Amino acid sequence: MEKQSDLHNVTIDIDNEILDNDMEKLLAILHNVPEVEIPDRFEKRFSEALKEEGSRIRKERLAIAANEKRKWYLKVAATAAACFVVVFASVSMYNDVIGPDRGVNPAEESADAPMSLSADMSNDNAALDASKGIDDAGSIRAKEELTLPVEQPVTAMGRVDAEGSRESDSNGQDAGQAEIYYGMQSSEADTLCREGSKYVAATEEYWMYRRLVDEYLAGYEYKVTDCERDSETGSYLFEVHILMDPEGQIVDEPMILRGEQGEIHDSEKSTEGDEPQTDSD
Amino acid sequence: MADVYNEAILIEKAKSGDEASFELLIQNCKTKAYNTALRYLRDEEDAMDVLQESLIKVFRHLNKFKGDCKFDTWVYRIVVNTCNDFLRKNKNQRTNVSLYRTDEDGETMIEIPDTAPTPSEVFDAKLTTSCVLNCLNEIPKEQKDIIILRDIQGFSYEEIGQILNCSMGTVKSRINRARQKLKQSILEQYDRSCV
Repeated sequence: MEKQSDLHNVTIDIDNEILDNDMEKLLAILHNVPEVEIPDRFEKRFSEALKEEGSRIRKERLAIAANEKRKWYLKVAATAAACFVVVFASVSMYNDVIGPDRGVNPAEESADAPMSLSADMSNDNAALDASKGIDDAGSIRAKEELTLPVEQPVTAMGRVDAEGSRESDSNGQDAGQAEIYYGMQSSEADTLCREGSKYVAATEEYWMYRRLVDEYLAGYEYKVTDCERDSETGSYLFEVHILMDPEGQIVDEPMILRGEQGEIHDSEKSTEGDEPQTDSD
Repeated sequence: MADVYNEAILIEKAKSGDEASFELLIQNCKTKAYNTALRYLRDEEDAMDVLQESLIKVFRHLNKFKGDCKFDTWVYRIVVNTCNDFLRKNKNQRTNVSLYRTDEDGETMIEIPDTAPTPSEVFDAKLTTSCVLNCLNEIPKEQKDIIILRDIQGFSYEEIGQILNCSMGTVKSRINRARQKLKQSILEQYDRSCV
């Protein structure tokens, strides 16, 4: 058994020596593998394929160059178009908004005039234009609009008659005038005062009594609906509509306050003999 | 330096589709590329097909050459990749060896290949070139690639790394194993011949 093993080892050693030698030979053989020349027939077919490919590459390059050129032209055209649009829009805006031609076109003027005039009746310029009697259509309309306040009493008077909710002082004309005043009051900040059927300008005395009314009704939400001055006694009679009390509850009741001798009295209470609730102290 | 300069000029010209410049460019590496393909494929016609395909690829995609390696190395890499593609495509196909071949005079000859070593060849010269090349075909592909590029074509480790797209360390470790494997393969063939 041992002899067989020794024999086997000896065989392996011999084989290894052979193989080591063989490795050198193997590498020598590999290094000396002869270089083979390319067959001549290859050159012919290769040059044909090369020409074909060359022409294809040239065509491709031309197509790419043309495409790039076209893209460049498109970019230039797009830029020019964008510039044109911006310039056009700017010029249009200038002409429409701040340009020198603004207001020259009669058609535009006629379209704008009624709206602006009706929106602001106290527009002095429009009134001036209308009074000048300019012959274009816009001016005529403006004039018509300006005449409307004069015609308003008719409408207001009709409404007063229909409602019948308000009492006049003496006659129907006064009641109508009062309703005119009421209408004006609703649209204007300050309440004008009248003496009989005649409206008078608000005086310092009037404003003093208005302040007293404010103090008298402090905390209430109210609205002065009428004011009449007695020319004989110099007293003021304020018709007030109470909307809400200081607690925030809705009242919705009319009240008449009298202002005389620098004091404010509840007209109804004073007629009953009560003391005035407050005064201007 | 002048060669590099010329090479750069030729590359630029070839990029624009100049065939003459391209032919000058590949003149130095064409034969080596053909031999590499021949060692991979072991067939003259296949090697020529692959070489043509590779060179046309190079011509077509010349603008992709970034200059991060030598132009020749880039060409060899394309050749090796094309050979691998060719082998992959024909892996499952039965190899048909044409018996007919036209010689230079246009006459048709019939060749019957006999790769089996004769007894005298086995005994007298067991390590002949054809035997080694036959055995080379028996070892794994990665090891075969290394042997072809290093021991037959004589590329440097760096060039092999660039061609096979791997590190130099990988190349060095692979070459030793490949040689051992080839030696073993030759030994086995020798043993089979003895039996």
